[in-house]
Amino acid sequence: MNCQTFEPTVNDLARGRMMEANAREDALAHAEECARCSVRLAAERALSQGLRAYASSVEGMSAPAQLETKLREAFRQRQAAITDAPASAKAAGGGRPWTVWATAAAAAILTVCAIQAFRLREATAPLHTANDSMSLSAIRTPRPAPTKATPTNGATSPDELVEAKDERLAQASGPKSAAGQQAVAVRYMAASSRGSRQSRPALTSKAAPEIVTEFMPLTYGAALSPSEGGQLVRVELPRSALASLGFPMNVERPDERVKADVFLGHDGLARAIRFVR
Amino acid sequence: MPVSTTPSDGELLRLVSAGDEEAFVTLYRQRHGGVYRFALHMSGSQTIAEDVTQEVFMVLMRDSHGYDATRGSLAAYLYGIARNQVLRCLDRNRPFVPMADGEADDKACAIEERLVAQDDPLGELARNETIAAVRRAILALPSHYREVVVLCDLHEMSYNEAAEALSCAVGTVRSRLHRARALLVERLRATGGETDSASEPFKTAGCFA
Repeated sequence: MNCQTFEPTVNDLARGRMMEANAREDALAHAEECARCSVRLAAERALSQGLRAYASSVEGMSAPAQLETKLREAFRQRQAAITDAPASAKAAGGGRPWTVWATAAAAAILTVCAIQAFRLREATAPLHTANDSMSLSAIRTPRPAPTKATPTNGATSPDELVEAKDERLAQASGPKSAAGQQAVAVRYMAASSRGSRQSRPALTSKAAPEIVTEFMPLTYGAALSPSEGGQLVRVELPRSALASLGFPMNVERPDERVKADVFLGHDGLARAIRFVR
Repeated sequence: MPVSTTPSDGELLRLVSAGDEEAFVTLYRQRHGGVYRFALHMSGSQTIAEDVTQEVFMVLMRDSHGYDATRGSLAAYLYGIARNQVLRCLDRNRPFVPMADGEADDKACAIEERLVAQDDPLGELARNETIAAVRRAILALPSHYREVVVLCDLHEMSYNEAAEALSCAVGTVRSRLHRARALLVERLRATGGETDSASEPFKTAGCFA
């Protein structure tokens, strides 16, 4: 053994720990031969002696007695809390099935109501259009001014009003939109026109595609509230009507007729118009 | 003739989980001394030692299922909790510098008073001085060296048990203990607290005779 191999064993040797017998004898023999390792071992043994003295000096020391009392009390409180917890949970659990069933029933009722409301809305929308179309025919037929009055799409639900985009409003109102009240009507019509354009390909799938302008408010009409219904009628107007609305007109053909969709309020007054080609 | 059997740690813990107060008290009485002394050796403060001991057994009370017998002894488990609590306390108290070493001195005096023997006052005085020097040297060690000295030397735990308590490898414990003891020898020599037989300085490196 040399000093390098002696060094790892010096701790166990000084502390009196279990060692392999041969390694112990070799280490002790090396310590007798080597002065430095002998001093090293002596220092370690002195340290171990000091540590043992320190350990024995505090051997009998322990936590104060009141700590045991305190922990006992904490243990009792904890056990009492644990014992009370199931009882309170049981008490709360007695009401839990009622709460669960009530919640489930409320959810079921709400679901049924929502489904019924959805079905009712879907069912009433076409009926409303048909009624409006019939009334439109009945009303508009005696009127001499517009000819070939053709109801297309009827009233629009308030939900569709909400869906109308503001940019469509800006386009429809344009420079001719005079007041904010007209904008309400235009928004209403914009939603209506979108609905008519969406449904038109299905209704006239074999007809040629139409090009329509945006709805333009007619300033002389009363303002429409968003919840107010209306009717949309297809009419033919003299080309000169374009000039009255500010559109360019071919003066060589003033008598030719152009198609237009006029939105009528419930009072029968025209609120907005769009041209169709 | 009735045979009195001491319940094992696992049995006591099972009873504690079931709410047996006497089992908890038995466990406390068996283990609290070692935990308290470990905290005292690590911190040098009786207040911290009491707080740590209380917290260790509160943890045992709250979560007695946290002990896994396959991972080590109950003593190692408790020392592990105590060690974490001590380090937390020391970190918390680190910003505060004591104005005087009053508590430590009182503690040292209390120990010395208990150890004074009437028949050999000079010998006891030298012994008490050695103990005080060793105590100061241990407290001056970095915590990762201090804990292995406390566990292996003061509490006479094996390397395996210390490794379980400290959640590290056995080799780490051995190397830390080796380094810690070398530091202690140097400190004790510097303070003159070592015995005459080991007064000659030495270096652990460069000795290849």
